[in-house]
Parts: sequence; structure tokens; C-alpha cells
Amino acid sequence: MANYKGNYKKADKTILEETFDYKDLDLTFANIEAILGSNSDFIYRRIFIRNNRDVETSVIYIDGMVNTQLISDFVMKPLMQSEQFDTCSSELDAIKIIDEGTIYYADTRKRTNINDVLDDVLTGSVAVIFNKQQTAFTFETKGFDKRSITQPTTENVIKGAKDSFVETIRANTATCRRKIKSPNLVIEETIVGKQTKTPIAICYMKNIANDSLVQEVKKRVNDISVDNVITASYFESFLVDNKATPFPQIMYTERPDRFCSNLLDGRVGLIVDGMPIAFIAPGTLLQFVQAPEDYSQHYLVSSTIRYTRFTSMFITLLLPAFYISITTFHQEMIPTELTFSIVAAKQGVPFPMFVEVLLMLIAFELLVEAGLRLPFIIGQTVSIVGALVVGQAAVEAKLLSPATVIIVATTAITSFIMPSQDLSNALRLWRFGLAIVSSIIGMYGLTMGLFLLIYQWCKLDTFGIPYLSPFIGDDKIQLQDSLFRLPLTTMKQRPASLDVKNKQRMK
Amino acid sequence: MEAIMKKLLKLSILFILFFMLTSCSQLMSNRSEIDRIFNTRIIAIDKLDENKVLYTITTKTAVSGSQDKQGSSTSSEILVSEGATVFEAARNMAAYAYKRPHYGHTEFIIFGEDTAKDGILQYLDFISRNQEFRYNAKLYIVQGDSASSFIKKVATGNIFLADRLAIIEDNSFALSKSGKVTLAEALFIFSKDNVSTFLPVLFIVPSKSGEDSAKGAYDINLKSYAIFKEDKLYAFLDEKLSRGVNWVKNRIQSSTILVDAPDKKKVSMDIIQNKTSIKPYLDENGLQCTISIKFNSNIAETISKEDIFNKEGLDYLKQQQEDQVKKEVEKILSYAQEKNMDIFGIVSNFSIKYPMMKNELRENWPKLFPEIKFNVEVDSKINRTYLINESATSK
Repeated sequence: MANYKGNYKKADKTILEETFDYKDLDLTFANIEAILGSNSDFIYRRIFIRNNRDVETSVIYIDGMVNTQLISDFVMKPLMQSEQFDTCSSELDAIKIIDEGTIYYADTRKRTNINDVLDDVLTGSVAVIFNKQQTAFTFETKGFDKRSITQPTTENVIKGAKDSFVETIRANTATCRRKIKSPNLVIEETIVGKQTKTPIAICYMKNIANDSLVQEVKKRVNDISVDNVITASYFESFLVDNKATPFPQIMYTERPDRFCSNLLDGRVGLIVDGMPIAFIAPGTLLQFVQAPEDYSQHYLVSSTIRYTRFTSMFITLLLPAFYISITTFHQEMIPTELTFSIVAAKQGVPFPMFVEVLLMLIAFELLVEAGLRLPFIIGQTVSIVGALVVGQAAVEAKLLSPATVIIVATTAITSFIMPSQDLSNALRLWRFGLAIVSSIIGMYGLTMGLFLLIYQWCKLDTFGIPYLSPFIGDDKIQLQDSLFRLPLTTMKQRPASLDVKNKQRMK
Repeated sequence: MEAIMKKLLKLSILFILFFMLTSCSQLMSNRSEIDRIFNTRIIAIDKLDENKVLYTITTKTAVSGSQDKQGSSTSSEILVSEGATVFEAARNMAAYAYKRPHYGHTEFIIFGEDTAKDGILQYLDFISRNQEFRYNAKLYIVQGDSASSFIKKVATGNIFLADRLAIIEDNSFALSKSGKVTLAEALFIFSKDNVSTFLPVLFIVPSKSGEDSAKGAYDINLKSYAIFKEDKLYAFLDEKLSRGVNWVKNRIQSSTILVDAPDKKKVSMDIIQNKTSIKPYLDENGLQCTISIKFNSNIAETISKEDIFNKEGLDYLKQQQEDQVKKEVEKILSYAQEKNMDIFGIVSNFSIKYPMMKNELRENWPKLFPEIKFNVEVDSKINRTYLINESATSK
């Protein structure tokens, strides 16, 4: 006991910086109770096998994480009632009998290290501890409540699969296995997060994905040295190359079909326990503009929509800045009749055009944020109030001109067309920047701002693949599925920029 | 951290280069709110006595949609100023103008008759030099009035003057008796030796139509050209001569020709297509030029009771319309030769065909032009007679 107390204090000191490590402690019930005993969900029972006072054992588990029915039927019952234990006179005999398979249970592990036992118990196993022998058996009896697979909330499609990822990693990997029934699908698991001990599954097609890409992803995942992996940004920021740019460099999806089709293209997927989304590396700009719906419609329809989406991307980015430029610096660029309409709308409004646009943009951002944070029902009220206050009352009070409201509304609508919220957020930031430079020196500033943006895009690469691929580089194959989507029958090869092992997708 | 600082430094250097090396000393000098500028639509330039220029600009009063519903008529704003030159007059406005004049939307530049007689090139220098003006602004001459007074007289109508002019200009194709000449075209012709230009002429008559006639409003007419010797107004052409100019210059889009049916009743022909080509050539008889005109027409209206929709009838009409066009063209050609004014730019046609003679042509053109033998060839086709083969007057 004295030994344990000393060690415990030592461990306590470093617990925040390092992962928990009690390797100096003996594997005994007392030690485990000292570590976990203060928790209300820590349950233990001390039992004598077949009522033999010489063979004492402790059964421990975390309530809520396990299926107690399984424990009672398959662990406790054999220990108490199986006649095979009648012969054992010591703990050593009991261990031997269990080892031989008397308690038949699919996932049984023999542990001699206290750390392993703690890991198992905390992930939903029950442990049977033999104090004198410092040995334990753990049985995987996970039985916590989990959300069932529901429809995707942000990536809806009309024609396509309706399942989505859930918070449980095993359910997610099983969903993928169901879609790709190939032995080449590799799902490797690793634990990340010193405190959270979050399992992360690295998924890839062993016969397709480029080895160095897989190695790089594995290396980055293993290098993650962070306290917890509960929110996505913790995880993402460790994986991306360039942390200064707001543009997303790793894609996420909540749709297993999208995830799987990316794996089949040769990309590497990551499924994180506790997140109903999966990540796909590398993420290029094109991927954030593609939507799953694109592949479930006729290619002419999809191409038109894809092209509209690209146009919308530039509209949402440039429209406010362009509007400020032409109304403040280059009035001759506006068609004559439109000039008079804008002037008529602007009359009596006290603010310069730039201030008007900026106020509206900020108001719009506030409305979006307010709508996000509030419960669904109150959220609707906010948008109604916002639309009335910003839209109508402000215009009627001559605080804003209707033309500006239309411009910012168009900007907002086009920003919602973006399938990726991450991309939309990055565009939001740049939109403000461009509006500010445009208000200083007009179209010249806008051009320079756009120049910088394109420079940043060109410079960026993720996992060695240019961010603007296939628009830069020599990936002609991927171009078939870029600005327009050609018929799937023409896409016979996998994207060249991924440098996959098996380039041929179909004959 | 150091890497970020380095990046920021690089970025700031880039920004300094972008913004400081633009060679614009005042980057923000052009900045002005859209509701504080005077969006000039029309400029009127008149010569005053004592070598002064009267400079008038006008724009439409901006009325928003909700105000418009109340039925207020479109009003215009006019700013007038004087100065020794156009530029000075334009700048003098700054002393009292309630908005900054902006010329990016100038569509029409109008000169008074007296001013045009004095020469218009001196007034076009500022306009062609200033960066705000557009070269596709159209030039007009006002017949029998000053440009400033023209603007003031017609400013009272329900439609703003510039909008009215734009509509009249768009409709002028139906008559093809006038047309539009842009600043760029006029400056190009003024810069050439031996070529005279022509500009469309506007004149006003008391309104004949509807409510406006009671208010003392005016109709604007656009149906002829004025011709210029160098940059000075030489003469106003009548409607027939003006259409002759358009025939030769291949500017006919549509027009009407009245011909007679065999029973001497009128038949209106609607010209729908035209192609004029000028073929200069040189032989032992000196400079010669063939002007060949090919046009198509429809029968738009007939009050003849005779059946004209057969080969003989159509040939009869065709012959008449060709004769009429030939006469019109010959008339304007002889007029031009008589006045020794090459308004068609025939000299360019010769120079292109005979480049070795370019200098000789240029030096001797005033002597050569009246001596050119013009040969007018007209070919026409009546290609659509519509489905009705009888006149409404025939029983």
C-alpha cells in the first residue's frame, strides 16, 4: 500500500502533461479502486469462485459503458456456477481454467499490466482481477447507448443513399465495409488524445492508394500530440500543411457513400470515434465545390449546376467589393439606366457606400451566427426579425439603400450554394478583406486582392498535391470532373495527381 | 513565429509595391459617392460672343420606384457655365454645381448651328483628351437654334431628352435618312485630308401629338445630315440627299420607296436589305468609280386594283424602284462633285486600290474628285410579297 501511495502522487503530478501511466503500480483491485473508485459509475463486486474462500476475485466495470446482461450471463454466472471451477484451489488454478476457455466469450484478453486493464475498462470491458497473481481477464462487453444511423443533415441528396456516419467508430467502419466488400480495404486503428484516448481509423484501398500518401497520413496522425480529440478543429489543425490560410485543406463528409468513393479514387480516409463525420485527405479546392448530388443526376444537369456553383463562389467572394468599387470609383462602368436606379435608391442615405455594405455584411454574419446558436424554433424568429429589421425597416428609415440590400442578399444566397461550410467560411473572410481594399482604391485594390488570393491558392499544397489541382498541374483526367462533369463512362481513369497504384478505373 | 513575421514582412513589401508604384500620385482622387455626382448624359456646346464658350450639361433627376408611382413626370437637371475654353467652362461649374460633374455616361454631344459654322474641332479637343468621356458618344448638330436653348426647350417633356434621343436614334433605321456618327468616327474623318464628314441634324417643331401639343412642347426630328468642310458646317442636306449619302455609304438598313402600279395607283416598297460596294478603277479615261447597289424589298402596301403579283407586275415595280434609287445616288454624287466635297471617302477607296498613287491622290484630290466618272449600278429584288395577293381596295 505504501508503495502505491507514493507512486500515485508521482503520477498525479504529471497527469496533465502526460498520458496516464501507472506501470509502476501492481495490478491489484486496491490500486484500481484508488484510481477509479471515486467515480460514481465505477462498479465492482468481490466474489469467491464457487464459494471457495481461497479463490477470491474482483469484477469491475464502468456503468453505462457495458451491457450488464452480458456480464451476468457470460462472466458472473460461469464463475459462480460452472462446475469446472470446483477443482480449483487457488487463484492460479482459476486463471488456468479461465485461460483454457471455461468462460467462453469471443473477445477475451489476459492482462498483467494495470494500464491495459484501465484502458479496457474505460472503453467498455469488464475486468476480472486476481489480486495475488496480479493478473486480470477483460471481456469486451460494450453496451453503451448509441445513436442509430439517420439521414445526413447537411449533405442531403434526393437520388442516393440516405445513411450517414454516427458517433460510434465501429458502426462507421462497418458501414464502409458494407459498401466496399473488398479485402483491399484497410482499416487501421490508432489511438490519439492523451486524455480522451480516441480511436481513429485510417482507411484506404491497399491496391489503389499511393503508399507515400498513406504513410504521410499515418505519420501525421501518429504525431498528433494533443490532450483531446473531441472537436474536429483539434484534429484538422494537426493534419494540414498550411495553418495560415483559412481555406480548408482536409475534406469532411457525413456521407459514407462519398467517403467510400473517395477511397476508391485513391484518397485516404479518417474516421474518428465520437464524430459523426469522416475526414478525407488530401482536400483540394475542387473537392469543396463538388457535391454528392452531382453524381446522381444527368451529366448535363450536373455540369450546369457545377458551373453555377463555381460562378457563385466568385460572386459571393467578389460582389460586395465589386459593387463598392463601381459605385465609388468607376461609376462609368455601370449601365446608364442602372446608375440612375442606384442613385435614386441611395438618395437620403447618410452613409458612404462602403459603410453601408460593411454594415449589411456584418448584420448578415450576426444573423447567421445567431441563427446557429439558438434553438431551432427561436432561430426562425431571429431570421424573421433580422429580415424585417435589416431588410425593410432599415431601408424605409433610409439607413440603407435597397440596392445594397439586394447586393448583400445575393452575396448571402450564393454563399449558401457552397456545399462545404469550411470553404464558405474562408470565402467570408476574404470577402471582407476584398471589400476593404476596394473601398480604398477601387478596382485596382480588388484586382490586387484577387491576385493575392490566387497567389495563395497557387502556393498551397496539401499532402504534396497542388490545392488548385487539376486547374494547375498536368492532371488532365481530373479536369473531366472539374468545372463541368463529363459522363461517368468517360472517366475511365483515376485522378492523376493522386499518383495511384492502379490508374484504371474501368475498361 | 519567425516564419510568420517573415511572411508578414514579405506581404507588406508586396503591398507597398502594389500601392506606391502605381504612378498615381493621388490614388483616392477619383473617389466619390454615386449620389454626389452629376451623371452628365448630354453636353451642349455653343459659341458666345467675345470668344466665350457656353457649356451646358444635363442629366435625369433620379426618381426611385416608390416615388415614381405617384405619377410625377421625369424632370431633368441642367447646369450651365461659361468660359474661354470648354475645359475652363467645365471647371467653372465647380463654383456652384451641387454635384461633381461626371462624364462617364455622356451619350450625346450637341452643337448649335452657329457654333458648327465656326468649326467644332476646337471644342472636341477637351472631350477627346479627358479620360471620362467615351468615344462612342454621338455628335449632333441643331438646326436653327443653339444647343443650349434646344436642351432647355425639350427638357419639359415626359421623357428625359437623352432617353428620347436614344429612342429616336434607334428608330432612325426605319427611314435611313439620317444615322448616328460617333465621336471616334468624326475625329477619324476630321484627321483625314480631302475627306468631308457629315453629322446628323436635329431640329424641333411644335409637338403635333397628344397632350404635349397643348403644353407648347416640341417634337424632335432626326431625318437629315449636315455636311462639313473641314470642321466647319457647310450645308444642311435635304432628306433625299441625306438618304443618298446613306445609299453610297452602305448605311441603309430599311427605308420606303413609293412606286406606281400600272394603273398609276401607289405601291409602297419596304427596303429590307442593302449592300453597296464602291469599285474604283483607273483607265485611259481617268479615274472612274462604279457604285453598285444591291437591295431587296417587300411590298408593304398597295392600293392598286390591278394584279401586280405576277412577273410582269413585279418587274414593273422593280424597274421603278431601281430608277428611283439610281436617281437619288446620282443626285448626291453630282452635288458632292459640284461642291468638291468628298463626303463618301472615295479617296480612301482609290488609295487602297492603287497604293503607289497615294501621295499623288492626296495632293491632287481637290482637282481629281470633281472629274471622277461615276457609274451607278442598281440591282434589286422584290423578294417577299406576303400571302395576300390582292389589294384591300380590290373587290
